Amino acid sequence: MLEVKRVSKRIGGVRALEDVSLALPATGVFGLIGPNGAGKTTLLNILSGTYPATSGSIHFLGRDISRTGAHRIAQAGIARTYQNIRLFTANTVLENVIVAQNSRAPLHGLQSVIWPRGKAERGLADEARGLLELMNLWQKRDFPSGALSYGEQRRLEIARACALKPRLLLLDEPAAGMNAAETNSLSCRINELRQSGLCILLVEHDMELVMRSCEHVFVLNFGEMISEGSPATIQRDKMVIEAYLGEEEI
Amino acid sequence: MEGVLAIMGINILMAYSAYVIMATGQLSLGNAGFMAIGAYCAGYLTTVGGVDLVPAVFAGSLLAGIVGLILGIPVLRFQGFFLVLATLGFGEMIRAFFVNFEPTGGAYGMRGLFGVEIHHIAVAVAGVTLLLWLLERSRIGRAFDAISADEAAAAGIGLNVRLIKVLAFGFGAMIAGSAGGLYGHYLLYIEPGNFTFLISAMAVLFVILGGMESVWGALLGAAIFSLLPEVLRFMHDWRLSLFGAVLILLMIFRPRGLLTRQLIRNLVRLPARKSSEDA
Repeated sequence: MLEVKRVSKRIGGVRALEDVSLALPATGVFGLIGPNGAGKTTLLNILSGTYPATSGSIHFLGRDISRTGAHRIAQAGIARTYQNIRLFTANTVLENVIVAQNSRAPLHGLQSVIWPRGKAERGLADEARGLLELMNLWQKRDFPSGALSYGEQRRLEIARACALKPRLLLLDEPAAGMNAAETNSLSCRINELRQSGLCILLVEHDMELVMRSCEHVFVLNFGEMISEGSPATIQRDKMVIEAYLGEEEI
Repeated sequence: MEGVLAIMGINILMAYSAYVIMATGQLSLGNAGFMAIGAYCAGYLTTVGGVDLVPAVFAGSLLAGIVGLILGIPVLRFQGFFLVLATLGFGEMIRAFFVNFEPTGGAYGMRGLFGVEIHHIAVAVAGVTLLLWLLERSRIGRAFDAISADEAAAAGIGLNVRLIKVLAFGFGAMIAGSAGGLYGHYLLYIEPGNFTFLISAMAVLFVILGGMESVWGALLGAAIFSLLPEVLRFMHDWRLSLFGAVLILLMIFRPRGLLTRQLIRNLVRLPARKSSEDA
């Protein structure tokens, strides 16, 4: 479904990504790991169209999206969450989901400008409720989203991203700042999302979560893909261990 | 009194023109420029072209809107201070243009405008209020909210942020243009000095004080702060100082403006709750 071929990104003089290639099928949970500064978020930003790659190509559902803007990529079916949470904090929890549902349909014609949105939104209310219940936030639907705890805000970001009905969901460190119990329940929710026939690319530092949730893991270090494989293979891979722990001194 | 109300109506339209742009999280300090374009274009059409008043005002508004779109495309690439400075520069540029542009009278101004009565202004205010109220309740209203909260996240949920910002800017320019056309024909005479930076700044100020979360905030802000200087007239020379003091106090005690969405919700719910308790 997603095919990334030899993507490189230079930011200033820094080589943030160097010849990165990966392919993702239509469903499954995939991990993207690597030490700090390895280029994980850079890759996510390129996939979601925040900025273009310097070279290389990205195909999604057969379409070249390497030069496509962020909003078109979102419409095409790639949704994401952010490492530093970006909710619409003045709006309520429910409104954060509604606003994403809303932008699924194109905004042209007089109807989208002056016609009351109430009816269209009531039609989507069940779906919004389902998403918030899945993320265990329905009880807090009328809270301002800025008043939620860290973990709740991360879950709301996932609900908002899912409201776009994406085919590919990019999660940027969804477990950051969560305690063990929260991470545990997050892992269950990721599983549930996957059951609904979605492809998830998970950027995460919590190795337990990655090893438990992902069927295949990609490892980045200094902007290069140094390894990939099943969680078990990755854990034994010498290159990966070196990247994380440093070279063994003899 | 009628004169005060007419100017209040013009101020409300100018507040609306600032409000539409602020609703997408942008700030323009150049709306007096769009007002000038609307005023001069409509004035030229009625005095030289012999066009009727209403179509002339619409034409002026349309021209201001087109200039707004053309300006908005490059200028809205800027953010924050840079955007404010760019729009401010544009407003002054337009004023300087009309000082030197002889066909519309240059620095001497333009005479022979007439025909706008208070009811024209009232209809325009009512019409634009209705339009903005509908806009707020429409799907694009949600998009405005999202963009003003976080542009990157708004793009991330599939909103064409740049296009929506430019369209809102053009719409704001259109409203300012209509205010200009009405203003000119109400005053009977216009000169470039009518469209100074102060007009743009006041338009933004009305919205900030009234509350930039809804069209009612802009309406209330412009209404109160157009009337306040008149109400304070008994203070003679001190009235402007008191006006300033009121502004500062408001910023301290109601930093999000007089009318917030929360307050509107409470005001709407209060009677409903009371009646359900009674039953």
